[in-house]
Amino acid sequence: METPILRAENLTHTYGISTPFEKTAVDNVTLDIYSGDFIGVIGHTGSGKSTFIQHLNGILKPTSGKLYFNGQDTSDKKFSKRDLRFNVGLVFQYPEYQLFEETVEKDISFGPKNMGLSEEEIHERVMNSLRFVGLSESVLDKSPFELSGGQKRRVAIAGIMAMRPKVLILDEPTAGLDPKGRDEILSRIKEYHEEEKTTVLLVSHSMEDVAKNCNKVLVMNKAQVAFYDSVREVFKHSAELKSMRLNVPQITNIFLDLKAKGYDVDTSVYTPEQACAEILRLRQKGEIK
Amino acid sequence: MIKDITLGQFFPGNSIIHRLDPRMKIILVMLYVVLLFVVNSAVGYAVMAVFTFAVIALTKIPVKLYFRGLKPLLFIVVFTAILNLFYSAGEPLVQFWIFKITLNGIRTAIFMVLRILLLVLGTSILSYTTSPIVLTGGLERLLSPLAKIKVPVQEFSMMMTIALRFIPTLLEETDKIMNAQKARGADFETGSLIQRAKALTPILIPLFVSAFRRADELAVAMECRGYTGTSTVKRTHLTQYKLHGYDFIALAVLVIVFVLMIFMLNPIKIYGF
Repeated sequence: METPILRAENLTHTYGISTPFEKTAVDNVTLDIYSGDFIGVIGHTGSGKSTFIQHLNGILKPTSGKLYFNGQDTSDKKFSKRDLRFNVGLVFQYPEYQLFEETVEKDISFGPKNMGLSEEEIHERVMNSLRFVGLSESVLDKSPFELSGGQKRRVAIAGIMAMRPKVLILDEPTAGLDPKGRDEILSRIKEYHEEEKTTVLLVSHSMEDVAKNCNKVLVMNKAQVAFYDSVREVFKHSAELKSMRLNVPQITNIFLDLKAKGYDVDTSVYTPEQACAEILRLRQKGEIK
Repeated sequence: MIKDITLGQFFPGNSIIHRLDPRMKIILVMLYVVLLFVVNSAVGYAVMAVFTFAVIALTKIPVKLYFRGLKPLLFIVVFTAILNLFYSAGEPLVQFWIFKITLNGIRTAIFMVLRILLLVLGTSILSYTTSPIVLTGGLERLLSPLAKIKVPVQEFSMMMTIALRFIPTLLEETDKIMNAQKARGADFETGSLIQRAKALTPILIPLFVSAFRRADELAVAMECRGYTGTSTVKRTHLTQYKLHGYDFIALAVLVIVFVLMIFMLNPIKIYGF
């Protein structure tokens, strides 16, 4: 059995212990994340997904429970917290607000510099991650504050990519972007995932984005894991997902409606391509014309 | 970590102390502070301590939280104690090198420490049980007579309300930015003083940028809703404060304690304390 790159074991996090604001945001979560996966993390606002992912790189410490990285206990004194930070890159929500350097180049270099890499190595990584997020070299000498919102976001993501983490976590990387910017960033991340073989966790509110890019889905509800399975398996539970104020991809909804209308369709499709194939199959069977 | 700073933080509740009129609460706290400086005997401090903790119990907020608010003051308290301990006139009890400890010194040291602790506890009761908005509202009403002599009370109160309103927001923002930079391997805890000061740049710059952005957005939003200050229109208030029976009971209790203290100004002394 392969060792999971990250393993949460009975992980619990409670905010504001013994204050009137006490709230358990993550409740006894146990799950394994395997290397090479592209996992979509979905959940209603306040379901605990942001709190959970902040444990994965050691920003938050679990109130109880354990986190293992490559089989090593991260609460172990011998385990370096900084190593965890560099191995598990976390892109926060609205990451453009963390930019601070005079130039884009310096800002992207911040992470690699903290890792103590050589100048050449840093430069190579900056160029590489700039390519991944689809920015041209002309922005390198600009101040990050001169850039447009979408460009800033990409610089911030590049800043994490440049650390070449083994696991890349993105907390709603497309929030507040226009549809074009959104698709662009997601396809860049997908490309990065495929080329660098990085494990990716993508927190998203868009079921379409999850369906299109991920191979697994983690659904959080009321501080607990509701589902953690392949995309197809998870989106089969449309009724449960809707009761959690979540949804399934629109295309799945259409097929659910078709089924309700009496057509013998497979309701586990979740991408337009699968939908197309399914419709063609039905046509061949002669059920529809 | 940053969330642990509780000074000036409000804990919602529905206790009798929460429900007191903010104007009355401000007056009571001022009276309480004066009282603390009047008291100069062991019995007096005991009464004040009992009174303070009785009120704390009435707020139904865990005592632990009040003590947490005292933690940052530890240095000042210790410093005051040491200063008073060694620099008081009187018959020395112990003497070594240039230091001498006098009975008087021990007495003032203990009293000063008690005074600071009670002062902070007492004022925390006000800020823990009164939301900042209500607090500035009360302050504004108390100061409103000053508007007659052209003091811009309403503008000041608006500025205070905005400032108070943004303290938690900025703290949260600082926390977020710190975490984001930590995720990029920033290290705020180790290194020399200069290195650590330099390590703050990645926090301060984004924080300033976002504070200016917020200020700008807020100003536009206020103008969109027709805010022009008090220059052109008379502004009225959504909430009107009214004194209730329990407000007067609270005032009566404190006045009784006050009178009691005045009578105790020539106290019964136990072993010189």
